[in-house]
Amino acid sequence: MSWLSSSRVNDGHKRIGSGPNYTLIPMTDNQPVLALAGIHKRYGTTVVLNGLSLQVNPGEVYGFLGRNGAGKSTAIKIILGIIKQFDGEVNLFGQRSERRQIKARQRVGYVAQEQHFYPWMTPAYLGKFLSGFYPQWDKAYYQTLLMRFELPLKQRIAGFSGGMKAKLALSAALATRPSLLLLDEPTAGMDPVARREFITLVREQVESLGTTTFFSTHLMDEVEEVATRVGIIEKGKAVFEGDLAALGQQFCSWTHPTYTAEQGHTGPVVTPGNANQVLTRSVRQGQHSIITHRDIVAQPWLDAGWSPTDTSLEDAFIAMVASHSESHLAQTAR
Amino acid sequence: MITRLIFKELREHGWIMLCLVGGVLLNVLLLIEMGLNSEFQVSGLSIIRTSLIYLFPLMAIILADRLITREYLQRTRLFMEALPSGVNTQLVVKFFIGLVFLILLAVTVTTVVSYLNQTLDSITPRFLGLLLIRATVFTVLLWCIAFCFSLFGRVRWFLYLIFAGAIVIIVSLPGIDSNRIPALSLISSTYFAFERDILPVFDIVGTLLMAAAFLLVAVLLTQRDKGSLAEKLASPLSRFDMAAIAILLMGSLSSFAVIMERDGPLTQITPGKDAISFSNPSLIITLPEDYEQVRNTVAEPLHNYLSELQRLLGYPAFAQVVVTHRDDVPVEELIIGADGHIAIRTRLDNLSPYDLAALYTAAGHGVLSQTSSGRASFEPYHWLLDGVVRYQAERQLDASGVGNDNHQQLVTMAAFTQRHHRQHYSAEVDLSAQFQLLTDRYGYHMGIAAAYSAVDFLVKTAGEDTLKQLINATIGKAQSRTALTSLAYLANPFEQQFQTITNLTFNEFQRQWRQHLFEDSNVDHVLVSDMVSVRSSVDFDVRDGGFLHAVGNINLPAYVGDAAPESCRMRFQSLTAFDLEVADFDKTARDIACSPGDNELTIASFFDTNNRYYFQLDVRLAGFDRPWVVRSERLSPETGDNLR
Repeated sequence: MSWLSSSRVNDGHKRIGSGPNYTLIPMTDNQPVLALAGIHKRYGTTVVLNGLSLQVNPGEVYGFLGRNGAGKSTAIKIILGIIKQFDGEVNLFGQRSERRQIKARQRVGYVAQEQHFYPWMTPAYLGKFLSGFYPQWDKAYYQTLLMRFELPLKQRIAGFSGGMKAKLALSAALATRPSLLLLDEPTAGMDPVARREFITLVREQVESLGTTTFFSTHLMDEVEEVATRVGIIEKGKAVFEGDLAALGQQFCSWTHPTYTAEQGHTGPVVTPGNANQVLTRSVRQGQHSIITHRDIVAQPWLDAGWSPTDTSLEDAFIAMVASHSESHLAQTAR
Repeated sequence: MITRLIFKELREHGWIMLCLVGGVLLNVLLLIEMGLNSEFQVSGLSIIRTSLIYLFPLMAIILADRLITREYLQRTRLFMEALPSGVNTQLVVKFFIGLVFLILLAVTVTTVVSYLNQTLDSITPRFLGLLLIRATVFTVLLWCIAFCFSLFGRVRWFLYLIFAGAIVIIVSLPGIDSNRIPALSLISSTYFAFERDILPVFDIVGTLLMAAAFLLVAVLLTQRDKGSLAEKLASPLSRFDMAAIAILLMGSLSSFAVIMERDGPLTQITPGKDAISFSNPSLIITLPEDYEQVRNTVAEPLHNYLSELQRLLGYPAFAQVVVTHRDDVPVEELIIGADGHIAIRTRLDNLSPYDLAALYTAAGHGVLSQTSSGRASFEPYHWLLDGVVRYQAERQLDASGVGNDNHQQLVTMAAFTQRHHRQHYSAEVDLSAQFQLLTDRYGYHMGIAAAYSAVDFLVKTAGEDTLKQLINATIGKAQSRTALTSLAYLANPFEQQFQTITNLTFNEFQRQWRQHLFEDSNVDHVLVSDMVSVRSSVDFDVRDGGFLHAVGNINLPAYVGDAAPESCRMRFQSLTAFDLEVADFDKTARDIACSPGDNELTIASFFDTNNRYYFQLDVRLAGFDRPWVVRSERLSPETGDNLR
């Protein structure tokens, strides 16, 4: 499913149409649920976050994309207050980072990348335990979710599979009735069926409750299904933030009925635009190349026969990351 | 939130805590039993100290590993840190759970051991309070150390080893007085079970400061990169690491144990070629060539005495007695139980009837203690043991026709101990609960005099059959020596056994016995009254260019009964670990001729300010074979306070 063809209504955004021809209705709620500004974090000499800034608005599903090691988990730990030593500012529910207290964290439901539950606990005891930390803990909802996921109440978590643990974590996170749901690559390690089930549940909950969701992942199809806005992080820095349409406007896939890039055939003539705009040329075999308008205009191989098509989020993500990497490399080389 | 955390920890670690409690109590029972079976009995309170040194560190390490390190190793900390409570709160909860648990355990062990030991030692509320304070403060330090090290992940084992090694070095280095180092001083063998009056404020504050220092390190570690450093340090050990650490740990503990326990080897007495021997019961006496007459006057009567005692008490066999002649050792001054036999070194020539009876008594006491594995020396029975062996010795002398006034001497000294104690300590001394206290305050020979007098009175009032019944029920047969037996004793204590046999409460018996003593025509009541009024003192004084002197004073009245005071004496000895009965032979004496009025006795010695000394002042009276002890004091030059 192409992300440009999907259409959903959320609290803050409304996307109309498909392909490049859609418009955005600006969000009306002025108070962001979460805002990071200029976050810097390093471990020793390793820079993990390098001026990360992003903003999550009420009701939206924010896809937080990045390659492995890009700094996503570190950013989430900073949001949760687990990591406190960093430069920059975190604003959660209108509270600055240094003022974030337990009460703010009680409004955040969190599903980690790996589940480290106490193996001796049972889901029933886990719920009882967690209820002491979250004032809005919804026991009935928790049990409903457990039943929905077919998770045994009285069985020790030690015997659970990775997928069961992730479902348990999501059940626990949702039972807190969170104002912000933080998902840190929750489907990592799941089989496709479990992953599908998990994503479906997230989407249902988000749609029915309107829960603001911050969904960190490197699996594009997950975000494509549920996200309204995305932020892409690369080397500790946000290289893109905006809604999916805006991301699509920056990229195009071009198809040609006959030729491939390897054969040396040129693409279509592109009208000059922003010289820094990045274009992706997609060919049938799936090879991608990254070129800018300047490159395209300058290239004599562009000719007729190429046509723009919908670009998948994965294509866009790869293009964005790749272009940033090339740009970074170029800057480094200079 | 905190309640949930506490319940979570208790649910997760409750079973290991229960195991630790069970293990500790089991160990305490084993230690009690080992103490009962040991050749040289020490204060049962030493079990508290032993537990604090060996068991509590182990428990603190296990608990800290469970509570803290495991959280890092299992990575469940990642789950906990995502909760809206703060990692610090969780660590604080864990810290206090461990602290409260260990303190409660220390209090329990101290209280239980003190309770079980109350028949062996005088446990006053203040003394118990001091023991509790020492145990608790030391436990706080142990927990802070374990808590701190547990945050160091796999490095923690090496830290424990280094720390244990440092302790061993500190304790073993001759130039360092570990008794003056806070924490170590709290569990000092010199002070722990004997320091009855002084609150060791300096040691307590010092130990708590050390605990605070470890806690500060722990806090800094947890704050470093929000605990990520502690997380990095935590990772599973390889089998090789575990084996190496286990070997190092065992080695360290063994070294530690060897250094902490400094008891010397027991003396082995080997009979020489001039020995004469008897069998059933076995007796070996070494005699110099020119003392062959001793064979008839000492050896054979002693064997007869032991045979009669064995018959009376109903023991199938007695431990072997080996008596070696030593010119320089007075009678009843040295008894050593070693390797299953009783070794006595003493002068054997020119023994007075009193000396002879004392030798019989010493042999009888030793053989009964040894044969009954110490059961006969159990505090409630101790007076009966000494009373019976002396009573039997006097009967033996009477039967052999040796004329003597031993009975008069003994009952007069017994009357003195009772009246003196009533006047100077404002209390009666209870024979079943405080016999060792009595011997400590008046010397062993006067304690025996009191015990003999009580047994003699029992025979006179209730008959010899009653005495035999009492002996059979208590010391007259080898009894089981398990810890369960010791506990069962609490359900049927000596007083109850005594009442069952004599139809008289032990308190009533003692009242009647004292009343008899104070009216007995064999007692020199004028002498007793005069000696009770003797005033005395002992203290340290700085004299002769700053050197410490022990200065004693005995103020004698112008007239002391019909027995003229021949000499006054002050003796002292440095107290070692867990001395219950201060052995006479260790004392260094200062003798002077006595006269009415003040008699000052001065001893200049190398009194160490860190040591404690036992002083005894006595007066030798004409017509008495043994001196009368008029004062006993435990003193510390550091404080000058009377410690008991």
